[in-house]
Amino acid sequence: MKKAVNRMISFIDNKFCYISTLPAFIVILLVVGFPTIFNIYISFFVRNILQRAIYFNGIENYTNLFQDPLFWRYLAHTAIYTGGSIGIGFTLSLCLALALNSGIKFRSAFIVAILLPWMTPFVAGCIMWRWVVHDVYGILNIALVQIKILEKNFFWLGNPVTAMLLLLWVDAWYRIPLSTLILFAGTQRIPVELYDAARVDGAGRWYCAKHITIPLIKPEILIALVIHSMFSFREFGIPFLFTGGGPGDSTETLALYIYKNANLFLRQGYAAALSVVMFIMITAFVIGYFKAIGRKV
Amino acid sequence: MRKGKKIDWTKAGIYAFLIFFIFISLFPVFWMLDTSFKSDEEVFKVPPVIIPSPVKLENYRIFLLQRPFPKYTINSLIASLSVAALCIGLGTPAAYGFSRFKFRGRGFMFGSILASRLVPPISFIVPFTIIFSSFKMMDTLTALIIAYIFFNLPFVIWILSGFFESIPQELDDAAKIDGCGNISAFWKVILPLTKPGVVASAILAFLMCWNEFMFALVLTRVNAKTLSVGLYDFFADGFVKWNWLAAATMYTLIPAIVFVLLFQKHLIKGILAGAVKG
Repeated sequence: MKKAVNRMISFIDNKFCYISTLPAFIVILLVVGFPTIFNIYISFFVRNILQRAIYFNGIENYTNLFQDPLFWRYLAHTAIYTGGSIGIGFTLSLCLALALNSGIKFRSAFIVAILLPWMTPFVAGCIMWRWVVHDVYGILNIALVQIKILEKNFFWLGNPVTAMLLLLWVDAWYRIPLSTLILFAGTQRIPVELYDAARVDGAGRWYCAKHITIPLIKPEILIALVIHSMFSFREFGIPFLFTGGGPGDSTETLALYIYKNANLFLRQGYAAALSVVMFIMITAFVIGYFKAIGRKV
Repeated sequence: MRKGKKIDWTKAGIYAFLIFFIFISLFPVFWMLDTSFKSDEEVFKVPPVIIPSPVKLENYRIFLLQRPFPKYTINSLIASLSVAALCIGLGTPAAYGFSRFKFRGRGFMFGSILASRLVPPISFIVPFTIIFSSFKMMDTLTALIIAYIFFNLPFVIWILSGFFESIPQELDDAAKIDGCGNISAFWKVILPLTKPGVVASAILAFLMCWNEFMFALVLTRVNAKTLSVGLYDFFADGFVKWNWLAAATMYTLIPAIVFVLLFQKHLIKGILAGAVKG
């Protein structure tokens, strides 16, 4: 009897590699794999709950999609949004990571302060920024009028250009902490001796940053860029909460369009097709990106 | 470095840049906090009142009475805690298994778990709506928890496998020479060493659920509404007093602030170890 129990235990122990990993894998298969496949399946149907119309539609959702001028318009908005957010956010993250790496005091206090926006709920962050740029009582308007840059209050979210700029700033505001952290983690890998050696040779701080730090944290730069762009591209919460796509539809992004199709226009099949296209774009981008830099995902 | 009378201007510039950035990025938080202590008139005063007098804590009491915010809080807490517990329970052994053993199917399984992070969350709203409605699970916390596992479990595995990889394999081998099996080597030797990583990922999983907005918006109506959506309703309601809204907003920030202050060392260490691997 005891022998059998022991054999049982050693059997389980030998198979620990599967016992540890399979449950998580199966859960992910159920929670991610199944809905993804189901989503692709739905994208071939017309589904309108209100009219109780559900019928097979072939690839018509997809052909409609490519002829939909709104799709292209919102794709362009999404590209501007993602590009702008990376332009602002990534530059700042790199500067912050380099600054944190330059032997300053109170480093962990600075890191905590930089990290805080990342932990803020999207709703809270967007409401805060909306309060700052509020057209009548916003502190930004009040301050700018006081120092005479503006003559009278400006409706920041009522102008397509400023609305988009502020929107992508809020997005960057959310992404900077994680990117900074990833880049900073990279700088911690670099052996101190390298800097010492460079200093002995008379290299200054800028020289060290440009010729030692940045080349050596290249892997982290690439990872931070891909994470930032992927997350901005598919972001739903920030555009929904900060501008709601307005004014008009000038800040409407693809994710918002998918949401509106699914929940407001009751075109679930079309929304599914849109999200499949979005998924393909992201995957193609990430695979192409890693192929281009010669690393495996 | 150069020490002495000469002022290091580059260093001063670095401090100035950091402080300026942090000022800009934390200004809305400060301003919201400030607004949440103001009386109705002070909110709209020009030039703005910086230090409200007297400091009004009443706003916090009022907003909690306006809507079922206590209930939203409990919903958020239940969802976030159970997702954090599930993800750590499933994710820790999985991350260990993937980082230590070479077995058949490892590449495929690990690859597909990481690849599931490529699926945009927005593409789940249609299938989840259909699936959960057909099981009569709309507006339940169970549905929300299932949806949250989707984006947290891969993230936890990702962070933790980086953490396990930073622990040398020799420790496992030593434990096994001393008579430990695979399981006890994991449980008694390696797991205690990764406590900071586990704590950090539990906190992050908790915060990501607490902060999540989209699924909560789509999958809940009344009963399972979370704090995020409750706050959004409060905001979207047309005319709401800004000082009440500010109090409500600051209220949703409490877990973030508590965790950051209490666990900052764990958090930074954990995230750094996970992020290095990429």
